[in-house]
Amino acid sequence: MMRLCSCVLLMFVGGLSGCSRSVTEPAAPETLRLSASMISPVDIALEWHDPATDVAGHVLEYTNDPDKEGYVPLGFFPPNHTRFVHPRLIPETKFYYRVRAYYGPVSNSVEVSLPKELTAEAYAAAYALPEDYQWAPPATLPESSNVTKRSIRSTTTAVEAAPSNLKAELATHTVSGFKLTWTDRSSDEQGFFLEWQREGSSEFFVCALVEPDINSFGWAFEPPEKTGSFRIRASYYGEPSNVVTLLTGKDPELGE
Amino acid sequence: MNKAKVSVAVLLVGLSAAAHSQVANGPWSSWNPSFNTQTAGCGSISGSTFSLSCSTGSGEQRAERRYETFSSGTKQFQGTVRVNSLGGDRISLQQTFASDAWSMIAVKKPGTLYQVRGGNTLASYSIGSSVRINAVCYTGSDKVVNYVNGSMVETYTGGSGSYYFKLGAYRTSTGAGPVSVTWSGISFYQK
Repeated sequence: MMRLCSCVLLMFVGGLSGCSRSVTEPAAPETLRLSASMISPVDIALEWHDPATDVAGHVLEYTNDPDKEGYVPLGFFPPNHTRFVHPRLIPETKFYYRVRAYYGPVSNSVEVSLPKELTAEAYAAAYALPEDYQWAPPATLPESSNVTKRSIRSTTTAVEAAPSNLKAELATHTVSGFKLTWTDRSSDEQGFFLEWQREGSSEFFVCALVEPDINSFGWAFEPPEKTGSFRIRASYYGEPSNVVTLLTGKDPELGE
Repeated sequence: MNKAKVSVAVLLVGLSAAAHSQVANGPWSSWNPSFNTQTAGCGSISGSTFSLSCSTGSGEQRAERRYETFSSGTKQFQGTVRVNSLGGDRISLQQTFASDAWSMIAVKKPGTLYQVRGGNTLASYSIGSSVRINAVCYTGSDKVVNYVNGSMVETYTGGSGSYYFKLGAYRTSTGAGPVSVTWSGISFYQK
């Protein structure tokens, strides 16, 4: 509360000084900071600034009641993505937001591609049918040899602690599923991220999360995606940013 | 509106919320419907975890909560669901019933939430992560508005009569387990 009061006072001072010709820009924050604004009664724009340069990315999270429920992720963003619009929200409802940095070393990347002879029509038709994914739940497979596990949170051991030997095997009894396996070499991850790089893109995006100690799970492309590169990140989170809160208004299009 | 004014507005709202401490979500007030549990086939419930242990693609396979019927006003369901594992496909997670199974939000493959009737994709979903579902049922206009992670994903019309909410794991007509889902933060509101 005291910190918020100080921030409000600083903002009022900033506003008053803005009445004169010269405006003093506030100093850049030294920690991860989140801000939010209403761009319509039911659309909220969020922006964050992180002065740290060693992050792997940021996860933006929200809740409607921090006393009753946890935060859920809205998205995982590479370091150079610092804005997000949360659209068409529940009317007349409070939204609480925070952002956290995530860290951790990555595995080798592997390219995956569906068969070239698979047409778009056949792909869509097959994907629309139920398929057997009993092979896909996250699992911890026995390691083929002794693996020394190291910390991902120390700069001296993070490289050696990165997941290794990532493989992706197409599940031929599905149209687009594939089984991922890797060697878990980390002792202190909070989980693993599957990161996907679309063909032609320079960035990897988080597309799935699994628990610590997992070294196998299945994932599937959705039409029309047929190719991409994947890697696994042994991950952990930093401390959360400040929390911002906004109350939405009535939805002008709902008419309720 | 310049940046400084917007920032002040955000902080002032934040202070106001802190002073009231509890939820002050506009006109919404808490509602506490009763429920009973329903299991069939290979379905089982342990606390807030709902499971189908078999891969049978036929018959009734169900592990759900069925909440109290309502027929007037506007009621809102809110809950956070995590699909712990999905070895099958096409499993209903949350339903708003009218005269029959009306709105059914289900998970398919490892990565999609969809509306069972019509098959519309509602959102991407990563198995193992948590996602929040809100369903706002407007009995006066016989529609339910579904939200995933706070954002509207569909307005579903054509309801009639009385309504009720369900959550859990249920094999849809083209689906099969096994599946394990955990629900948390289950709340209801009305206005």
